[in-house]
Amino acid sequence: MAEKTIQTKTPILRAQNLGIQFGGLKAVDSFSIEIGESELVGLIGPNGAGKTTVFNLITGVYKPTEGSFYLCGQRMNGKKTHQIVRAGIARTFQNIRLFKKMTVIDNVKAAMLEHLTYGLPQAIFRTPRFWSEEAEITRRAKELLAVVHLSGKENLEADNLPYGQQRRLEIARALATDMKLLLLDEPAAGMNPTETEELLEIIDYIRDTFKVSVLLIEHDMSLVMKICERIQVLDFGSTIASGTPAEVANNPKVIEAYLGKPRKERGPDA
Amino acid sequence: MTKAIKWSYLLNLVGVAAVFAILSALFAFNGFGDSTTYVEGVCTTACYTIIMVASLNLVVGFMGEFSLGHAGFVSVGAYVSAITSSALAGKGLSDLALLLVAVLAGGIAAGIAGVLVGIPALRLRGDYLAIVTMAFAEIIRVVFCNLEITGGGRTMSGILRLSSFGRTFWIMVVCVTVMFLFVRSRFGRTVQAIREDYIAAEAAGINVTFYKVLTFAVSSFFAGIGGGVYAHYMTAMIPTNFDFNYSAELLSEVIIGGTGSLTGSIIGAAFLSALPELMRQFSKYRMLAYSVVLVLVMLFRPGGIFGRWEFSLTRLLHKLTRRKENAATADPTDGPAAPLAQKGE
Repeated sequence: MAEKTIQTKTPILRAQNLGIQFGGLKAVDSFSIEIGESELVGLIGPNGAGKTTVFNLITGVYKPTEGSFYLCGQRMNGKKTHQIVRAGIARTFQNIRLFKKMTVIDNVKAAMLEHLTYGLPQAIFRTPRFWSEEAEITRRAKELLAVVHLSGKENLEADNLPYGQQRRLEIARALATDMKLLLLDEPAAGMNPTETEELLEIIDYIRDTFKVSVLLIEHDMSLVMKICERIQVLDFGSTIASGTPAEVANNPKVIEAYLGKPRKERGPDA
Repeated sequence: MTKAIKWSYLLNLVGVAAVFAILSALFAFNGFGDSTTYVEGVCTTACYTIIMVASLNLVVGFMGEFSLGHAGFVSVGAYVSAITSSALAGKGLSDLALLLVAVLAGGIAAGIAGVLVGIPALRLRGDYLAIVTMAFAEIIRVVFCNLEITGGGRTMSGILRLSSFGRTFWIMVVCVTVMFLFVRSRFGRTVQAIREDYIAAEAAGINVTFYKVLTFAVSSFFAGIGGGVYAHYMTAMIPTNFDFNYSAELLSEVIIGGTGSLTGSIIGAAFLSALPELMRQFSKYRMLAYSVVLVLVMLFRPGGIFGRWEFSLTRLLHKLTRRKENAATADPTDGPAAPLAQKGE
């Protein structure tokens, strides 16, 4: 597992031997990764390999029991989720989590606290600062909705959007936090080929315009192979391979993890 | 944009003033005959109940957490304001100023109590939080039963009668307006996001605990103000007034009015505080009738009378002027300006 990244400056995300243990189970064991600026890295592995757990570690939902991780050189261990998000790591969820009974635009605005500095008195007396800040985030929220092709749907209830659009709205909400690193947890799950194609365009566009790095969990192999620059493969919590898509695809360990060992080679030690 | 907003503020002010003018004219010219004083009393009761119910709706409707201890905060406000006004009486303050100072003191005390209870309690969710808030209200009641300054379990009487209908009405208007402005700002948006999905809210960078405690404190503050007005209207009170039944009554008014709708709370509180009085002629069956009404509303309108829909005078006027059809047949829920129309939960 030689490090293949060209290290020019501090990576956006650096995780060192990150691990978490639930009782006797090591869900993730010494997970290390480095993601540079505007890089798109894929995280794959069979079901239960610990991919989402890695996301939960990086976003502070779980506290790592070992190792540490850094965002732009800043240690993030032990910080609370909202602090980590403010620092610049945003995510989407495997099972969509939107603010269902709120409008599409309010879903995006809710994540824009960074841009809102007015306090309670300003809100209650409706000072000019209140109006200008609210107008500013409305404008920005509309921009972000345009990025994920949801213009014109601002005032719909989020719950009423079709599935694919709900996934895109989640991405817009993540963008609203002004992150440096975007974690996408199976963004194409349940999408049809056209929707997946549209999603790919959006991810490309986001990387180009916002200069963000992306860590992507995905089961759709064709998608992963197409867009990821590097892939890291997890199995039973440990990294079994990492490298370019081509390298990973031909790695016997990866093939074994996904398909099992060929029958004649199965030795006494498993 | 801003002009439209100013216009809508003005319109609402005119609407509120009109309601006030009609009611006070009716009271001044004995519009209800012999029972005018009685009706005025019912209306005053409705006004301070509206403050309490709307404030509870901030927690139940907008934050999505159950609180069964709202009466506890009401009682903190009531007692603190009663003590303040008796301490400041005769210091040269006018009646109105005295009432405002006392009520504000009650509100602040209740707000502080809200923070103190909220910090440990709001780590919990759902049923657990409901039980903790209920326990807190009981603690407050027992404390007031044992303190000398609050009458030590006996009736605390001789509180100055400072709350008239007019003052109660306008205090209610100010409180509800402030709550509206709170809900329609980044605070309300954040709190609703937490209600919808707290995990996603955290992932959107929202400090969930902070906003929960803040909302709880704001809600308690207004509960305290409601309590202050109550104390200066009743002039006598006993800690057992603020028992679990009172919390449950406030909660049922929130739910009947519509969780997540402040205008719903206004209607719910006014309706339910007047209902037992309106049904006096059924004498002993009136509490039965009251329960039947509650059951019927829950059966046919599970989200409350208003659901999450807010009544808007501006929108109504828009509708009336734009289409000249029969206003009575217009369904208020399908207007283009009401994308979040009511939906049964």
